[in-house]
Amino acid sequence: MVEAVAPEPPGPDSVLLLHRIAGGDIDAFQAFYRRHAGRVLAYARQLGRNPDLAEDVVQEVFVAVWRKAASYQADRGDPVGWLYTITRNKLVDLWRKTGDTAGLDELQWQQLPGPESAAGSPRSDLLLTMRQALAQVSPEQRAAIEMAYFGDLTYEETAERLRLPVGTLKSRIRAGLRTLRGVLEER
Amino acid sequence: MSHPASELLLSFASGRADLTHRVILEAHLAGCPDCRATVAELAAPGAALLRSFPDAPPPPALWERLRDRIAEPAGQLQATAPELAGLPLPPAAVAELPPSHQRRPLRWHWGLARGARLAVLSRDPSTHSILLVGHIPPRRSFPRHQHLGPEDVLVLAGAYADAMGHYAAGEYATYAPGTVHQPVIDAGETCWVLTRLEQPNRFFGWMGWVQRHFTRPTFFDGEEQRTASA
Repeated sequence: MVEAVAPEPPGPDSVLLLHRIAGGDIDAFQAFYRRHAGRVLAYARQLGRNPDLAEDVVQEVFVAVWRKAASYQADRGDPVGWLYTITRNKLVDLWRKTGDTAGLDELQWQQLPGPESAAGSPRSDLLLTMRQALAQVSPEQRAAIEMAYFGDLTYEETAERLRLPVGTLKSRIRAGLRTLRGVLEER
Repeated sequence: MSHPASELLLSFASGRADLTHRVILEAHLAGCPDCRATVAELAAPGAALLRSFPDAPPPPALWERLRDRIAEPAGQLQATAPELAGLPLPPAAVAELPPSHQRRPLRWHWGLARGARLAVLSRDPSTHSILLVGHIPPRRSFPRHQHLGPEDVLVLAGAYADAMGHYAAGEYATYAPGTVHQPVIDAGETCWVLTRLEQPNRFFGWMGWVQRHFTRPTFFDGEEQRTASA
């Protein structure tokens, strides 16, 4: 399970916190914020391209959490995946709104934090980062995932850039995501 | 059962979907465990990515600002509004809409079919897309039309059929640009739909004549353009 990569800290798990937030529990909301806001802020600073706006992005993300907690369903997966989707929504909306879409189409995996960035943090025992996980994926699959998953290209646009039939690209992305998940689950 | 394309679910899970897609997809996901499972699988790498970032505590002032935001007067952050109360929208879709004070009231447009009405529920100016909510009585036929851009349709209640298939509540239909169709509502139950468009439709027959000869504002110009840029 992906959760094994970064186990929940002590206290109510994030799913339970979301259920309590849905009932208007501000203490649960603060606990959820304390648990996740640091990484959301680091993500927004590193990949948001405008560090000055990173705190605004975090604020918008957690306002959305407050509003949408009642609609979270456990079978939608890991709450952190749900939070990632919201975070990226806010960043992409901001980029589209400001016209700052340069580079949106492709995320360079080298931008991702390496193991050194976790040193000294509660997660310093975690040897695997997404960067390392992506390194386990074949270069062909990684290119497809960077463009179509972390980037902003459609299947057709990605296929054109990689000069692949769309069907081959889809297979490559799914295989790459399966590999990525498998690497993470092994940890 | 018709579902959104896998590419669209990938776009949704990876946070790239625009506002109108997010609302219509949330409405579908609320009733589709299969697509929820797919989204869970597709979002897992994003979760791992987020966890790979260092957990640096944000400045205390950030929490204080956030606490003030969520303590705004009742209704400011709530998506619910009286005009949405009668719509068969899942709460997850309503929660995806902008807060009520950031949206214009629904304005119903009548006349596309007897007893049918449509209103713009949401729009995303950055992608030039709009999301319509439609209410069509049983047995009514929507005018034959051609899509100049892609169309996504989610049936919220009731059912309709066209040359491509039959779509019941919860089903998600996708039409490519250039598609020509004429949806016909099933007997017995009013049909509610969400429709996402990026380009206006071209109508045929008398409706097309009206469309070509009258310049009254449509969903894509005049009033809606002004609204979109407001």
